[in-house]
Amino acid sequence: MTVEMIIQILTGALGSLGFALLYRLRPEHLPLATLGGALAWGAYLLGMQFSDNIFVACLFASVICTLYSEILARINKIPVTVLLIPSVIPLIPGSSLYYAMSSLVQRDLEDGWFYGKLTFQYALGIALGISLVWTFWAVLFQRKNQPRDN
Amino acid sequence: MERSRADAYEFLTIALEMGEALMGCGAEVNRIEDTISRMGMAYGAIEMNVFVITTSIVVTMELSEGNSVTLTRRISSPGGTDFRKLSRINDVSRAFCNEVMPLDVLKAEFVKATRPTTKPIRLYIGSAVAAGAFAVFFGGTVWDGLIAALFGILICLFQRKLQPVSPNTIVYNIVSSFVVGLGVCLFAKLIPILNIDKIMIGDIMLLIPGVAMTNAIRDILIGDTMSGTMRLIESVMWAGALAAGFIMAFWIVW
Repeated sequence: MTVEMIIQILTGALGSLGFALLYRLRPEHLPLATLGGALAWGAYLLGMQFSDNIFVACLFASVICTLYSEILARINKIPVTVLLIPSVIPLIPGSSLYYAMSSLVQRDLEDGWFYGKLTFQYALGIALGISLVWTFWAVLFQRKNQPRDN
Repeated sequence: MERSRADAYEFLTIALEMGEALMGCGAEVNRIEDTISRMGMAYGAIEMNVFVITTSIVVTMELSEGNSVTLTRRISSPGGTDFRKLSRINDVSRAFCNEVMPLDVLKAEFVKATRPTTKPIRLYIGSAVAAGAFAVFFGGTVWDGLIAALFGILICLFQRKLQPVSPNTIVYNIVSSFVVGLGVCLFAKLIPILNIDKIMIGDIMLLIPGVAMTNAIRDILIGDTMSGTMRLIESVMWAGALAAGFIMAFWIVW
């Protein structure tokens, strides 16, 4: 683990804390969201060690993050989104989305396309990870008195 | 027990209010559908058909064979993200599903759940911390982080004061990113050791619809294609507006 990685994990967690404040989490849930952010980026870095593929690393990190949020949300009896969204914040492709758009506005289509693809890989990885866990979760813990969907 | 149509009408009005409030604090589309549908079943419907997209809610509540009530609600402002309110409303609906309460009690509980949640100072602190942290996260120095945090506070001010009076999100995004971009560029020009792109990315994390975009793809993947597509297109347009605002500022200063 390099110094750079440690800085990234720490600032990623801090970023999650900032967003948790911004999304008005209850004070007792703030540490959970912060830890979630650290976990997300830690898992991403770990994924990058194994596969060197952004999509795979993101998928892995997102699965870890969703499992973490599902379990803690269940324990604390709060909606999953409350923990999930602040936790995945470090994975959100803010910088590549920005570079993509700024390249397009400056009519640098090649760079725009490159960063656009990168952004899509991140977003798809996160979204797919969340959906995968939710699907298994729904199969495992089918809730009672759920309205039948015909 | 079969409810009267008047009761069903009153119940649906409250349920739609709750759905709208949930949308306004950042709930997922399928959560809102699920909430309204469960509450309806708990209240005595034999079938609930709920269709939610980010801009409207349509509910048909079937009380008995051939006797149904339909209400729709147009949602004009998507609102922000308030997870404390979200969990409060969720608690109310959960309590209602466990034990059906009289409608006036439900209404009172719901009104109680929507009261303001935190002091604004927390939002400013949150913005500053998030912007500063992400400037460093994406490779900036501590100084970049501090400047980003400073502008994070400005963005929070915009979000609280300017967004409610803006005609739409695109105009708001262009204006706020232009002003922030102007400020960041001026700072970077005066203090040459600053990395302009890192500061901007830190601040942009607050403005950029990255969460909306990820949620959009997730909605599409779990079957809410309509909402997902709408959100995806919206978020790409917001991102374009942001980039346009920043680039204009950059051209002016440089």
